[in-house]
Parts: sequence; structure tokens; C-alpha cells
Amino acid sequence: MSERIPAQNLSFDERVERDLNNPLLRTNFREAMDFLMDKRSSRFTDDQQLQDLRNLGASIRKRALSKLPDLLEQMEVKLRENGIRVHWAETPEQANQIVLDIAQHHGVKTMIKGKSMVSEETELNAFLEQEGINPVEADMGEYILQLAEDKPSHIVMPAIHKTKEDIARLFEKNLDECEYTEDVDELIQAARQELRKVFHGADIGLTGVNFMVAETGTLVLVENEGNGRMATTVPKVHVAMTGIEKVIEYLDDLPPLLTLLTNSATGQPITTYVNMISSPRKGSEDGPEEVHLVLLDNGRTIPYADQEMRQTLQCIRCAACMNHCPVYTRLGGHAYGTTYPGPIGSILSPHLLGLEETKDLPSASTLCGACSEVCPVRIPIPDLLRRLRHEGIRKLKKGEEAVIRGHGTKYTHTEKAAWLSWSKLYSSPALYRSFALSATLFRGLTPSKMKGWTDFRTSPKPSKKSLHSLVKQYRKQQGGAEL
Amino acid sequence: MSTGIDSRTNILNRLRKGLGKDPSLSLSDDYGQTAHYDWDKNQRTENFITAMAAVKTEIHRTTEELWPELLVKILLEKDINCLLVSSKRETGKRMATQEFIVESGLTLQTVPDNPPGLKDKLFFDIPATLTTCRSAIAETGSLVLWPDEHEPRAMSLVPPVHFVLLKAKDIYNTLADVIRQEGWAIGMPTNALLISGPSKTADIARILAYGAHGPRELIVLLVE
Repeated sequence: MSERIPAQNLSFDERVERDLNNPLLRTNFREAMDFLMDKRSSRFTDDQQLQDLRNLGASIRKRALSKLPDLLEQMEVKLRENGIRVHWAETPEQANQIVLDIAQHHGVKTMIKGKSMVSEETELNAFLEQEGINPVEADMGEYILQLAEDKPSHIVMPAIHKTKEDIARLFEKNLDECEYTEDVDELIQAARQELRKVFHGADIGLTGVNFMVAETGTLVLVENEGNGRMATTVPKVHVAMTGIEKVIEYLDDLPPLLTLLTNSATGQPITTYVNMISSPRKGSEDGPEEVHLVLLDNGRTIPYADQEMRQTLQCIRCAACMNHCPVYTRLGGHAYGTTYPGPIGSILSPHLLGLEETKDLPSASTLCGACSEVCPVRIPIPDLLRRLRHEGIRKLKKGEEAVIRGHGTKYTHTEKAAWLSWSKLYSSPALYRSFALSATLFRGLTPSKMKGWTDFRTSPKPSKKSLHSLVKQYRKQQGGAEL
Repeated sequence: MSTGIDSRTNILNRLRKGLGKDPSLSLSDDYGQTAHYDWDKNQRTENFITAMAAVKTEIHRTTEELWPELLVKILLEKDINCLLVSSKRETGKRMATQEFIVESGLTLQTVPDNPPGLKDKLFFDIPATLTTCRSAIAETGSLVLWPDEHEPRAMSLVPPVHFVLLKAKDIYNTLADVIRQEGWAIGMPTNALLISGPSKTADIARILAYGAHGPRELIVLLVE
């Protein structure tokens, strides 16, 4: 199994073509990203304060990653002391199987889900359905997508590509007693009523995790709707699913990261709910009798082994890089074809899936640097994109250990030969001069069609005289020295 | 497929191998800082109110003596005729002694000894609850709750209207201050909660709607 979206088996180029030619989609994303960028910048008005906070956020994440195996063990001890059961999964299949085993142990038929990108990554829903368990998404955006049999296009606002008319039709078709309405309040209330029934009856709730605190053995969930709180309060079993990198060392590390996360994501000083769970219910408290944590690797240990690429794992999933990316804004999330789209997806997915599957992603960027400028934990995304481009065309030397799956997957002899010639040309003045001379002399022979380039642009024709000769001529006229 | 124990060992081994001899960083390697506030008590209160009101929380400033009467008045205005409280908390104790409640036609319900049995009532019957809170945060406009058997988690989540009794003296500047000054790291409760406004969503076309899954209204009685 992979976390790839089965995007009608289209290639990356075909998906890009499809989405670029969808004016409604482009308007939706343009407006939504402008909205989210404005929201963020309205919260970060003092630049010095913002930079100080980003420094701290990066420090906290770097510190946690610098001792990740120790922290995971420390956290596991603490969680066990608190009564939370910890499971480790190397692959999506293992993670899904763990969830299934827990559900079957309790004879569960329906699972209510809070938002979890990791469960999207493992394609948990499809797996559970095959096994006769009915997973119901409760985050409003995810619920809409589940009804529409669609996938998230943004990691914070998953249904951002849907219009309210789309949703009105969807609810009219799928919800009991919901007539067509474009009134968003009514739509939300209709979904609330429907999902309340599921919450009331569900025996198991599944959520993601935003942060795990090693010091106290605490799972932190951030949300606005209350679906995460419902899923962790009402059913008798709570399963939390997350990547191994989400751990932080101290409880004191939490406040700065929370501030960075919610302000960067949606321009909120804090989300409506910050839900900190440290144990199953005690005595006659309410809440779940059992709490499980599933820790997923799925390729995260690969970037971890390389100091530069390890920074990928600093991510706190705020999506600010997406919101500010000129490529993402024009494409939307689906064209990327991976669970995590946008700049962070382009540096994370190649590790989760290998470069063969994701070879186009590192180049799906203009390297403008907007992403790293807004990243709350200072991940140098353009540097990492360039690094992945390099790994994609580089063949491993004998005995050299791989730093990613799929080294050299984009390597072609033609490109290699082209760059070799280029480098020869530019390191020999004589060769360069004769090249320039022939390029100007035979400019008439420039082909008028060049694959890819001339689809949207005119063919580049060398000018009559090279810059060198023009300068030479100019100097002569001025009576100046030779070049 | 390998067993869970194998997976654990494999993951930790891969991480340790990947880390190699890279130095582990300590707190003293941290740089950067969070915002610092020198607010006095009044500024703290004002900032708290501004932040909470910005996310559609109703705030009523009142006193120790007058809050029960004010609460009943708000309930009547909102046509709410039933309120769930904990008889073990100040909220329930005070409300139980208010004679005018009977005249007002308001029914006061108390949390039973076995809160899980409360589920159906919260889902289908109770229109409003009143809980205490442990403290609050001025910077973000947040209420801090540590739900327990007397004031269960679902009480601040399932019914459509949630009232909270807050003492102005319990407002801190920031979450970091709360965590440090209340010594949270020494022992966390089953569930610690920050609540900053009524439940909401903007998942449909970025249009804000309240009462997504939790309470549609959050009303704070701020005792000064």
C-alpha cells in the first residue's frame, strides 16, 4: 500500500494540466490562500517578536530531534505509567493492522474519527472498510470529503477546493432530512446532527496528535470544532495515531509551538480547543477506558539519518508553506498526488514514498523562498528541494550508503552529456568563442519548435552579435582598453 | 509481518544509527524567545476580555455576591429552563441556596455520582451547563479546565450552551505562566483543556459557523 492518491492514474504533468485548466479551482485556491496569508500576517505584526519566536520554535524542534530515540523511549515509559498503551509501526500496513486489532478486540463496528493526516497517509479508511468496520470522519472538512469520496487538498483546510454549492448538493443527497441550502450555518447544523448520532453510538474514536510531550506523557490535540474532543471523550476507546517525529521534550516547549502553529496556520492566537490527554479515565471520571498511541515510521527514519534532511522532520504541519507557495496556490493540492501537498509535501513525500514515485515533486517549485520565510520552525525548504533534485540525478558511488530511496531516478545520459558539454564550453575560452560565433552565424537554423518550451513561448533565437562582441565594439568606439 | 516489539527495536535502531555521533542539544542551546508582558491585574483582565470577545464569547463582569442572580437573568433571557451544575463545586453549592431559582421556573440538575451514565442526558436533554475553571490566560483569551468526576469532560462539550465561572484573580498572562506557576510538569491530570470560545468551523468555503460539534455559545461570568 502507498499513501499515493489514486488520481485516476494520471501522470504528474497530466494532473497539473487538468488542475491549471480548472478556473473555478484556481479561483478557490487563490482566494483561500490570500485569505490565509492575510490572517497570518495580521497576527504577526512585530517582526522582531516573530523572528525571536521562530528561532525558539526551531530550537525546540531541533533539540527534540537531536535526541529523538531517547525521547521516544522516555515518553513511552511515561505513557505506560499513565496507562496509555504504545504501539510501534514501521509501515502503513502495520499501523492499520494495529488499529484493526484494537477495534476487533472490542467488537467495534463503527469508528468515529477526528482529523488525522497520518490516517490519510496509511489509507486507514479504505483498509477498515475492507475489514467490515465503518470509519466516519467527524472533522467537517474530512466529513465532506468522505461523502464526496474525495481526498484532502490542504492539510489544515482539507475541503478548501469545494464550493458551498458542491457541499449543499452533497448534503442534500447524503444526509437525512437535509434539503438543498447554501446557508453555511444550516449546512453545519445538518452535519452536526448527523455526526452526533455517530458520536453517541461509537465505541472507538481515532484522532491524530499535534504534539507529544515526553516529560509528562501527554498527547496534545489542537482544533476548533470539538470533533477531536468528542472522539477522545465519548467512545470507550481512543486510538491516537501519529508520526514518530512529533515528540517534544518538555511541557514548557509546548506554549511557543502552539503559538507558532495556530498563528501560522489560520492566524488564530489559539484554537478553540487545546486538548491535553495524559491518561485513560481514572475512577469515576468520564472519558475513554483505554487510550492507545500508534507511532508510525513509514520512512521518517530515512531523512533522520542525514543531518540536512533531518530538518524536514521539524515540521509542525501548519501549512503556512502551502498558503504562501505560488505553485501550490495555482495548482491546489491534488496535482501533487501525495497526502502532503505543497512545499512540505515535496520535501517529505520523497522520503515516505521514494524518489521513483515522487521524482517530479522536488522540481515542482520555483525556489522563490516564500515557504522558508514563513516556516515557523525555519525549515530551509528550498535548500532541501535542491538537495532532493541533486539526489534524484545522482548515482550512488560504489560502497556509498543511500540517503533516500531512488537515487538517480531522474538521471538521463542526455542531460549528463548536455551538462558535460556546457561545462567544457564554459571552461575553455577558445571553445566558448567559437561556439558564440557559430551560434550567431547560424542563428537562422534555430528550430522553431522545441518540445515543452515553444508550447507557450516563442523559440529563443540568438542575436546577431554576441554580448562579448558588442562590448568589444563599444570599447573600441570609446577608444578604451581591450577587454 | 514483524511483531510490535520488532518494529519498536527496528525503529529505535534505525534512529540511533541515523543519529550517529551527532551531538544532542540541551536547553542551553536554545535561542529565541516568546513575547513577554508586564501587565498589571487590570490590564490582564482587560486583555483577557478583549481576546475572548474577539472569538464570540459572551463575557459578563460581576461580583461574588451577584453572579447567581445574573446567571438566572441570562438563562431566562435565552429561554433556557434547565441548568446542569456540580453539587460538589462552588457553582452547584451557591445555586442550590438561591431561593429565587424556584420562582424563576428554572430546573437545576446536578452531576450524578457516576458521570458515564450522564451521557444520554447531555446528548439529548441538557440545554446548558455551568462549570468552574481552574484559571485563564489573558494573551489568548483561554479558559483552563481540568475536568474530573464532578465536572466531567462532556459537560463542557456536549450541551449547546456552556457557562463558566471565572475569578479575575485566576487570570495569568500566558499559557507558559500557567504551566510553570501551577507546576503542571510535576503531574498532569487525565485531561487538561484550554477553551477559547464556542465551537466553530470554517471548513465550508471559509465561512465561519458556530456550534460545529461543541457548544454554540460560551458565556463567562467574570467575578471581580
